Amino acid sequence: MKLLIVDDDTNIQRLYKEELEEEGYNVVIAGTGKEALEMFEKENPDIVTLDILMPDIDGISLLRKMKEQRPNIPIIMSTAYDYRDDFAVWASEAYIVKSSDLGELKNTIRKLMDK
Amino acid sequence: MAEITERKHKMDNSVQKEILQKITSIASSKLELREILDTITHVLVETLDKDRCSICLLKPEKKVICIEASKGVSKKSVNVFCIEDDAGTISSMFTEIRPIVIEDIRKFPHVKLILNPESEDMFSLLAAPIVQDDKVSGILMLQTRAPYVYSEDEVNLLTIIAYNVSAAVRNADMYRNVKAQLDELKVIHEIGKAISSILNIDELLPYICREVSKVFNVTGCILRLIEGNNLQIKASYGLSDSIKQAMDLKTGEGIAGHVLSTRAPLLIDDTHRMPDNLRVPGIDATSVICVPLMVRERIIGTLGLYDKKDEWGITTFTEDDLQSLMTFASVSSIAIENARLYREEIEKEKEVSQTKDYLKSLIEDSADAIITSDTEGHITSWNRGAENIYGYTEDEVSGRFLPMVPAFLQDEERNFMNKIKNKETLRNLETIRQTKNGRLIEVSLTLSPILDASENVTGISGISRDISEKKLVEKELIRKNQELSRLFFINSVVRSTLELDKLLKMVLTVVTMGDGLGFNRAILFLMDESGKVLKGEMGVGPASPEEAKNIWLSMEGRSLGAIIEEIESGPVYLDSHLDRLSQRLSVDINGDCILCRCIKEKRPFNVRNSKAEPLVTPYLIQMLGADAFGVVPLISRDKIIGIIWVDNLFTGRPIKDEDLQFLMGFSSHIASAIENARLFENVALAQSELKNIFESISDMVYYTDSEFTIKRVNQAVVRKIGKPEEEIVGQKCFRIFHGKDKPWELCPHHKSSVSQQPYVGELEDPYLNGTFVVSNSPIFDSARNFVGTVHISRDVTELRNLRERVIHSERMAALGELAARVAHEIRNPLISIGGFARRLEKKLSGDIQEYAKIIVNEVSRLENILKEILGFVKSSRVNKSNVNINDMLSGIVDFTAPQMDERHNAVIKEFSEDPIIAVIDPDRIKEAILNIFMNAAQATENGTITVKTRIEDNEAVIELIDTGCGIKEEDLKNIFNPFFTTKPQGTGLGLAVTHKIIQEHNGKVKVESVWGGGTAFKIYLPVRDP
Repeated sequence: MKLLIVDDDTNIQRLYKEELEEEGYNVVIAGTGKEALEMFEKENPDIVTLDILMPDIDGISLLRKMKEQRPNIPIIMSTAYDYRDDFAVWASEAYIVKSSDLGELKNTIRKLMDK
Repeated sequence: MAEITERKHKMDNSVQKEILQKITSIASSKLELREILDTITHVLVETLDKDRCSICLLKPEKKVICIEASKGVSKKSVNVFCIEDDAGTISSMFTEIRPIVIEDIRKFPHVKLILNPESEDMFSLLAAPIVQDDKVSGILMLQTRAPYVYSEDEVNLLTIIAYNVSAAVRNADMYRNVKAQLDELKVIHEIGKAISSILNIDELLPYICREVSKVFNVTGCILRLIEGNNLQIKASYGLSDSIKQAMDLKTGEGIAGHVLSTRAPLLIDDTHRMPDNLRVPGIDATSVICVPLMVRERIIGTLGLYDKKDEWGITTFTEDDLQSLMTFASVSSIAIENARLYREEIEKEKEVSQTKDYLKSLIEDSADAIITSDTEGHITSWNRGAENIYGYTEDEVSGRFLPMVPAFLQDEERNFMNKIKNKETLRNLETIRQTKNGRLIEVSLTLSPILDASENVTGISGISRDISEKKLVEKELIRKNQELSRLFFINSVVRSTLELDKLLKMVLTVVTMGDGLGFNRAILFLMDESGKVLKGEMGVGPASPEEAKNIWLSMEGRSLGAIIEEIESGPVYLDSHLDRLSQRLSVDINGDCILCRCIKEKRPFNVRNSKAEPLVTPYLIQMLGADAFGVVPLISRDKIIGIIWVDNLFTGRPIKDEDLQFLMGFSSHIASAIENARLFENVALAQSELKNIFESISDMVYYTDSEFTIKRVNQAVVRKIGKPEEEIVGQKCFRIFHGKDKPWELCPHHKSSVSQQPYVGELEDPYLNGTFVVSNSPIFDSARNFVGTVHISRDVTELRNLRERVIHSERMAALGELAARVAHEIRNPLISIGGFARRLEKKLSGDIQEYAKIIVNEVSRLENILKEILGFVKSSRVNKSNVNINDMLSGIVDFTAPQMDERHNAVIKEFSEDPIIAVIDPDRIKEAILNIFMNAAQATENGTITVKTRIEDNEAVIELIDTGCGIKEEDLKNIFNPFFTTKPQGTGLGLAVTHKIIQEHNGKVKVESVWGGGTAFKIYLPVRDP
């Protein structure tokens, strides 16, 4: 089961990677939007976690591009700020608020994987 | 005695004959009566060799005029004196109408009574009665200083001469009567002319007094008019100025006041014998007649004459005088009323033109572009505001197609113009315009049709405003003013013809009725506005001999007055055959035809054989078919306003020159009446236009005078103040609008009245509980005196609140953006700190694990604070409430109407009879359904979109069925996937969002579609919130 984590904060990358690998997932990391699209194609992940506020390509554009390529890929939008009024976000499978407690993220991934 | 006998013999036939011939030739000469009588007395004294000859005439009211000539006295010093014959001595003396012969008068003392009291020295008397209509009306007397016996010849001769004198007196009386009648007619005619020539009442009234005094030959004349409760002297003749000023009378006071209260004429022979209450101090007159001045049934004043004079001195008025004065008064009354009306109209016109000037300057000074064009967009006017906004001058654009419409919007503009042609008004359109230097600006545009009196669209007025500027509200106010003035301008120049038609119809009826002038047909032509073309306006008369017979039969027994009254009170029908025929006639007055000649030479023409008259054009013969006719010009104040055509087509009766002369005399009255009616209607129309506009403005508009007193208000004021108009007008404006006892220094009105400059300001008024933008413009009269202020006040309370809310939310949005950045920047490090602390906590034990736990807890606390700040704590993102699905769908249908219309789609609503109430978030569900609606509108053209609702198994079912292009089978499974779209500009999110929203509400969406055959969506929503 391969997870693609997209986040520009290296500390958070490391935190996600360590925590999720402990859960038994194969975790790949992208730090920029461009990198994320390359990895998405190359690694062919089963699930993607996207930070919305990214320096180069914003998360919503990434969401759109990924869905265009693979309409059924489960994508989790994860952000530090509330974007839930933006209808585009509704195209994702889930939306979580970033937190130091990764419990919600883990639960969400599990739920999506079970489907 | 011998001497006497001798004298007797001297009287032979030849002498008698000679005397008689002389007397007869004198009596029938053209001399004045008095001169005739003088000469007769002299001749008699000389030829009969007597000492004195007298002629006494009995005048009305028992006055006796005596003319005496004595021997040896020149003709110049003939004695004329007047005595009273109260006892009727003269008639009693001649009970048998025979001469009295007295040798010595001392034996008959009573006879002395009739003689001049100073003629004590005369002894003999031969008196012959002067007889008229079998009554003694005077005496011819001969006297001598010595007693004398008159011969029979002398008695006979004197008797015959007395007959001659009687004839001379009668002739003179007749001549005087005829002359008086002629004079009277002349004056009445003059006054008649004054109706059309003297329109200035200040000239008219003295003119009337002067003329009437001349005609009646009186010492004085007073014309009084009613002003309020008083009768004021408006003009007089023969009175001193001091009397004029001190003589205002009340009803019942004096002779004039008596006439006013009784409404009847009054004749007083001797003021010394009249009741005291009629006496007016200051006027020293003996005889008086006074008549009321009446217009229809209304009394407007009195006309009084004092002390009639004749050749003998002051005399009394007769019943005939009274009748004449009545006639004169009725003509004068009409003249006065006309002049008054004219003065009022002039004043009204002045008032209207002042308003016009005021509004015109408003248009010019406006910051808005105010542009008018014809219906095809060719510019007809362009104000300074337009020049400022668009950069073109009026000369550059006049006649051109709207140069400020950018090329890419011209189709849209033509669309607008078509709407305007259908009398629509387009308000506050926001669109793009191009300035002369190519810059594109955003403007708010209001387009409205310009209508003429018959409601035809003759042009377009457009008011545009550069909305990049801030002060929208003030401008809106000024714009209102200009819309108003534009409308006003256009309409005031077009005249309505309703009342004028009535007048014209009456005129023509008078011309054709048997009681009137009795022509068979009459046609009225009026000059058009250009003054170059005579146009048929109206015709009265039958179309055929049969109709003529019927009409004349039906008219029999009805008076002219009754028919005129009928026209006055009823509607005027302008559709008789002759009307229609007349209205087709139009003649260029610069041509050479009989109508043009009539106008050029300002005289009537009587054409007895139209075929033989070269000036009668074939056109007229063909159109009107009369062999003989007359035309008379209508002249008002030296201006030709039209002509009247008359003929006797059916009876063939020749038209007499006198008939036309009569019509000519009558025509100046008609002409001035038509002019007056036109003037009056113009003024009335302009006023009613102004009133309509005034009343229909939604802003409060009111006028105050210079003392802050409210003079007029519109309905918007009445609504806002909540009191009837009568309770507002006449009050002080600061009291009504601000609840203050003196002018409020914060009010822009106060500022504008101090500076006497227009002032626009915003005012927060706690009294009316709101915020108002008030525009105050001072009004000046023609002498530039400040006379008051026009106020336009708009309630902007709501606008202001809205403005405040916008500012508030903008501020909040900015704050929110900042917060997002801060949150992102803080949250990421916090997540790292908290996340790794959690990992430490898991791996450590003992005290150090405790430290890690502390960090985890503290970070969690910080994260929660952040969440709270950023609004993440809102429990539910879905705001559910009870919603009537049918109402909500109706709202969506209305909202999408423009898109549906654009593609000519019809929307059919088939809703359940009972309302369907579901617990939903209306905003979310609206968004979901709107997406389907917009897709349907785009996929369908010239088709229908059906919306059905019903309840099925406790679920609300909404069906949306279109007749559009449908969805391909392979696409059908993808339509709810995000970013899937078949449209070039689609986001591919619409239906995905719809799907999500319906899912969130625990509902379902189903779709059926046939490629090329339309699409049907079904939405199921639970009615109860689970």
